[in-house]
Amino acid sequence: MKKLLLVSLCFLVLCVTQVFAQNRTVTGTVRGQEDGQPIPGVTVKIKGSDVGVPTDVNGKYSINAPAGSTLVFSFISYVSQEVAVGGRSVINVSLATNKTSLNEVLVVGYGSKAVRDVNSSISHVSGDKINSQPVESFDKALVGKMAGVQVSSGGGTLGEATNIRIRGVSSISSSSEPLYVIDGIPMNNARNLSLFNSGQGTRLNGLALINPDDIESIDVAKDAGAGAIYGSRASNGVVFITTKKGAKGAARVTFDVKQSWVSPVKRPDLLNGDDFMTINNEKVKNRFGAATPDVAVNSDIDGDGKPDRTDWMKLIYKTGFQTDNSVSVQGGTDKATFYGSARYADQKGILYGNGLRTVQVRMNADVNPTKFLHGGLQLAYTNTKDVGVLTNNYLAGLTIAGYNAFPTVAAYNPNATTLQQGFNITGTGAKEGFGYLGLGNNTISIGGTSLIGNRINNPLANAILNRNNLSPENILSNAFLDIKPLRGLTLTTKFGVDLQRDFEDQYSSPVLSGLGFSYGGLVQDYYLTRTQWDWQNYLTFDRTLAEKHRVTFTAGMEYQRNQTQNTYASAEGFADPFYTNIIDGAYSGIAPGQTEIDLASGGDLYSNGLESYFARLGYTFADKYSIEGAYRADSFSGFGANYRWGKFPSVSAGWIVSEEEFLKGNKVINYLKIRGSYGKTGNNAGIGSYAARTLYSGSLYANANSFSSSQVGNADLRWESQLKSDVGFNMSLLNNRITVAADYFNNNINGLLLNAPVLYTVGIPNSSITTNIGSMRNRGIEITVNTVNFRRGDFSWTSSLNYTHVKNKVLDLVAVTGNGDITSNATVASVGRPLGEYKMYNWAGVDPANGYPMWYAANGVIKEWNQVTQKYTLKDGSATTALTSTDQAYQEGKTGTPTWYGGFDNTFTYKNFDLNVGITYSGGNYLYNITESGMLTNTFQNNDARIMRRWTAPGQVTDIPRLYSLDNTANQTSTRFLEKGDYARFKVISLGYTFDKNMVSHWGLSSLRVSAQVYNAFTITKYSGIDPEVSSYSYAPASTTVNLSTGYDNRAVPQPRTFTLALNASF
Amino acid sequence: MKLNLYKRSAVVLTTILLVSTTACRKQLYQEPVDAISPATAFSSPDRAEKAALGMYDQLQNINFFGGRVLIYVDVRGTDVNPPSYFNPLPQFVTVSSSESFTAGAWQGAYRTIGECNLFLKSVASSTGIPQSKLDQYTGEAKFIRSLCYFYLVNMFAQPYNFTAGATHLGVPLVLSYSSSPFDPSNQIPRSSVAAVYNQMENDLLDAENKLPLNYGDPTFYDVARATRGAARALLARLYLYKGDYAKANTYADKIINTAAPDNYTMNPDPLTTFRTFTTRESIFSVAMNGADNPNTNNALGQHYNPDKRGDIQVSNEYVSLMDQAVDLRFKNLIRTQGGSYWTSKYIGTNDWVPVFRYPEILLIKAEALANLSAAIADPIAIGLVNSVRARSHAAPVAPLTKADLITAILNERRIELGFEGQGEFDYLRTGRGIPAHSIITAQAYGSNYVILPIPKYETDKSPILKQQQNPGY
Repeated sequence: MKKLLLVSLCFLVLCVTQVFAQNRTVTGTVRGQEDGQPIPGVTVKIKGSDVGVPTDVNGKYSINAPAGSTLVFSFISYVSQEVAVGGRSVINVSLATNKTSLNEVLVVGYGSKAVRDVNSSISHVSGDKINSQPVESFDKALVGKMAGVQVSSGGGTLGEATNIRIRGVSSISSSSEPLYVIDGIPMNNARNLSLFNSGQGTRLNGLALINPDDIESIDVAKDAGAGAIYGSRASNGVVFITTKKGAKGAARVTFDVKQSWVSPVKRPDLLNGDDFMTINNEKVKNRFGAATPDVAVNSDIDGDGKPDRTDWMKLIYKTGFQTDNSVSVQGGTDKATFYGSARYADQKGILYGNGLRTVQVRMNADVNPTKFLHGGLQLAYTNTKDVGVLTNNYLAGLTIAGYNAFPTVAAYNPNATTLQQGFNITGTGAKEGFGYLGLGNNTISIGGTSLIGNRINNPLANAILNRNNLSPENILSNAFLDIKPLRGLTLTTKFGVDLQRDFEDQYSSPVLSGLGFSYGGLVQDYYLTRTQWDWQNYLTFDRTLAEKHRVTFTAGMEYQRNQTQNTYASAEGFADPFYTNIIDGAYSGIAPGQTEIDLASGGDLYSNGLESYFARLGYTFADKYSIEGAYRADSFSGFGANYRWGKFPSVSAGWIVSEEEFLKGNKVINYLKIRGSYGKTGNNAGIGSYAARTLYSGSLYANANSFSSSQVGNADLRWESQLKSDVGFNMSLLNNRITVAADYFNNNINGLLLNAPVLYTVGIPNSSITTNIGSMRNRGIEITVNTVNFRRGDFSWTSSLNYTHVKNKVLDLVAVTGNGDITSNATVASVGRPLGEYKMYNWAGVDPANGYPMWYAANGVIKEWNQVTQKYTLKDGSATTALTSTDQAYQEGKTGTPTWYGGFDNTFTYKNFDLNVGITYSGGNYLYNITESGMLTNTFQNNDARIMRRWTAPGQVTDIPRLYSLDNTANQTSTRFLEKGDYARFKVISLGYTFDKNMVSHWGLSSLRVSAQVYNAFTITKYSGIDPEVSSYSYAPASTTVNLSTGYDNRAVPQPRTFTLALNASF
Repeated sequence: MKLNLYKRSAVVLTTILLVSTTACRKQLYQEPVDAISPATAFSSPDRAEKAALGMYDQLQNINFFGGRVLIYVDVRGTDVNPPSYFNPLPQFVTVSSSESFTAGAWQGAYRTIGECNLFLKSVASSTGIPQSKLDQYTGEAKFIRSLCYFYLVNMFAQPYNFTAGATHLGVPLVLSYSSSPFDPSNQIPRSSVAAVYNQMENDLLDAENKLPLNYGDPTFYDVARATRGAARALLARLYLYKGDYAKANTYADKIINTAAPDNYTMNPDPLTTFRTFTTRESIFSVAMNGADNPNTNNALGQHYNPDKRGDIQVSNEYVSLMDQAVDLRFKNLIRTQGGSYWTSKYIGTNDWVPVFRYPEILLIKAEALANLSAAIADPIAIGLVNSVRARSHAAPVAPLTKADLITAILNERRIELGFEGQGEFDYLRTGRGIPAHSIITAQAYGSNYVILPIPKYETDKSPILKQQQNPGY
């Protein structure tokens, strides 16, 4: 009966189609090619007509199509497909994703747009490119991914921040970090959670509190066209982070498991025990005479009957194991969708004792109760514990004590006291000893003169017996409501909160030198709360009128308030080493040998606000010509009352040339858009909350309260402004096999927010006033080329190459005081030169006749340092004046900031296998290798193995001067330690296998992928240090140092090389 | 129906927004809670008093009188081994104008001077402060300013008697607070050494008149704040450096003859002064507590105490000046650890920074008298030296000639005042170079590198200072 019915129905349908001009109803399901899931919302159109229908929740469609017609299936971020109907009535289609397609959606601030509609320069990277990498924070994974975005690492301790520079360093005294906007809500711009030692101790990047697995995509606004809508915060670029959302219909649970092993890319090559003794005895004999008894001798502290030999590098650099597990659930209906995730990661670093443990949860929910209402909530909570270690800013740090330690003494001592926990430490308590590394039989002074630079701590004991923990918590949340009262019009209100709390806990053991020994045990704790709320109300309008006139409009307001409070407490003079926390009654507050109770608390509280109004109006004609204007007015509470408001306009225009008749249907050029933008943006990042005011602060004169001047303000303080221009094009060639995006940009920065240096003799606080003075320029090109290099049968090879070239020039500084250089370390901001140019003595090598070091004086004459007379001479030995700062030469064009950089990403697929090889590169910069100068010293310590090349006999040509105890003149800042920083790094090599769907469905899975990956596989560089990708001053308290001294390698911890096994399974 | 809903929701939303945005907007512009305005700081006599103490807070500057300035003078003398941490300061010839310790000292000194100048300017226009208080504040400001200039001029310029009439270059004299810091008028040239000394002398004579003998607070302010005794002590030292021995003698006498209860004495044990900071042996010290120097690397106790950073060791030469068996300055003030000598004068971060102690006044008088006498050794001077020695149980000295006496006094100054910021000065002001010691070669009197360069930071910004840079730098 049923069958009969069906046949008659078919017959009926057939008749009907025949009757109605051969029209037929075509039905089918549209699925994704990769996951086989139905795709709702796909537009199914009859080619050459306006007739079209969308697919429903189950991906099904039904359309009335003429027999000879062709159906076009199109959907954002999928490759459109055309299918000739022919005689068929059922057409099922699977669409391939096209992540680089022109229909890709970009976040533009208070909205989103298809690539095709964007006139400005925005880079996009999808979340899977980020969360597949074994990094603690997503910013590290951005290296090499986007043109114009330079990512440099501060080093390889866990949670170390990166410096992200978008189209160059754009400030001198202010922060050059971009604005981060997560799901439309600007994040707190404080990057470091640590407060001790101005945040230079145990550093932890606030971005590590975001789960990389939750990231759907990252968009970076680079020019004024894209940025001006963020006005005063857009000068350094805007990074938009979009988190994942649930999709209708597809209920899914996904497990993502990564197991990794990390080890340093390279360890420093230091002297072994025998060479150490040779070198250090030679230093002493050269200075104090050949008859001087050896100072470096064998000893046997570990009691194994053999002379102690310790490879400290093997002890401080370890292989660490990391496990990172995420689970996410998502799903939804027409009315509501949700995405939820949880992550647990436990990571051990490459440094002895370093660990990071993170728990994160997120819930993103969207509801569409009616056609005119759409609301949502996004809520993420993170709880992290960072077991930090001290490195380059502490004498007891692993890379200072660890590098300097004698390889002839043991790390451990079997006779150690209980409190020393087996470590080799001299003395047992406050009365008896120092708490340093025991130095065995070595003699560290001659005739009362100490041979060592600083006394050496046991780095291992310091990492274990002391404590440097951070326990941050973070809530990132926003709720929004969209109302659509008219077609094309949406009213949005959105409120977001970024709440960061951190407990920073430092304990110094009384058995170790330094604070613990001095204070009879010391606990120092910081409680930090950073609260930022942000409220936005805006309307958006998008309608096409009379088919050809598309009008888009956005206008609104935003209020943001930020408050930071920190409270400090400490405890000293503990009753017993048993106590290592602040416990009532367990401590006296009095340091050993002192009588007064130390004030054990402190803190600060400050806040600032931002009031903003913005608008954006766009007009597109016939999908060919478009123009857009944006405008924002911002008022920041920190600025002077006279200039609190900043106004930031921009204009951008685009022309889709390929829509013109002369290019339409061109076989070579499928798509070509020429675009340009011009506008103004501002920067106030890093400016103090009350920077414009003249202030007195509470200050203590011993126990007496007092007030003293703490800041000279400037009522005219205002925004640093940047005039950005950009011209570029996007092009697709050869059936979209090649896509190219290229830009030229020129950014003029005016009214630099400079901590303008004032003569010391004027005597004002900090000898500087934050002033809008000076100007600077960043100019460059960037290009991205995506290609399908090969696609045949089961094999394909696609690649993505990006390249950026950027040049900076300082145009003007403090003219009133003669445009003098602004100096940070051996780098300067100098008019007419690139920012952060090196300025130092020119090294002239080692005199083969006597082994003395030589430099060029300003007049080109070589001056030589006579070790014996301790005087400068000319090369012939005649007397001359000492080198002075006038002999320090500008190293023209040489800065620490790369002038070119980029990435080259290749994906090969064969059947179910995929191989990804990602290369990053950067160069044109110079690194100042302080590690080397510090490790080639003449003090009594371990040295870099290169010191074996030292001068020993007349006529010997070498680059390392004669050894001469305690004389480190040869190591003064000079081009001797300035090296090229160019490198190319095989950042990622990963091999994955995706199981067949049919196969895994037997196991109850909808997908299963396994992969193996090497991260930081190897590096090609001529740099002699352990890692060219370092920036030791990325956490410096002064932004001037961060912006200028970008290329210093000061005992930086190298990047880890990570081997990862990953499994991704969905149900 | 639907239209109504749109309308209704739009009205409701608009109302909510209008009400709540106004409330939120207020929060954006909040007045600071962590600092006050200059007007507030001088708005009442109570607050002005705290602003006066703010000058001392600035005097605690970590690169200057927080203790470092004493170290800078001593590491260039012969009583300590050249510490590598302070390189290149102890090595003389390798110091350059971009060297950071030098710049820090210069900046620290002028910052303190700036605070004094600002205070003088601000307090003059505040109301309700009694004249006696105004006088006292003026005296304090001028004393602190002079103390800074005294160290500046002796570190950055050749000693007073380097030229006849001290016409050689001193340091810039900044005597008022600039309200336009970038103005070229701030590019003040170096005054002659004579002019700097004259300014200090005038300021100190005014301060002597205006400062109280005591603050009625023997356990803190009487040592921690400038007193008449402190002004006189600096005057005595200043005249001694000038070679105006008669006046040095006069001002030393004024201190020695101060009537009870404001008279000064020596403690029976030299250690006492360095543990109990407010005995009558201390005339003026920069007070410190743990909170002034939290987590510090810069306190005297950090650098000198082997249990702490301990990067400055006492030299063998210094120790050999004493009879180690009896002299309390060895027995109680020197410790041996790890085969090296260390001073026990400073042990922690709470140590006050000694500026004037009574024994120095006795030795100033002795030196003045010794120089004033014709040829023979002045017996009163010998008595004064021996009184200082006797306190520490050292055997008396009995020099016969004037020259021997002066040598004995200078020796005694080294022993007694070691590590208190006189090391290099005592060589230079007496026309002597720095002898070779430890690994350091001899530095001739009057040579370029015995004085420090004007920081490059400064000469870059002031063409006049660039021309006036010390020779050799």
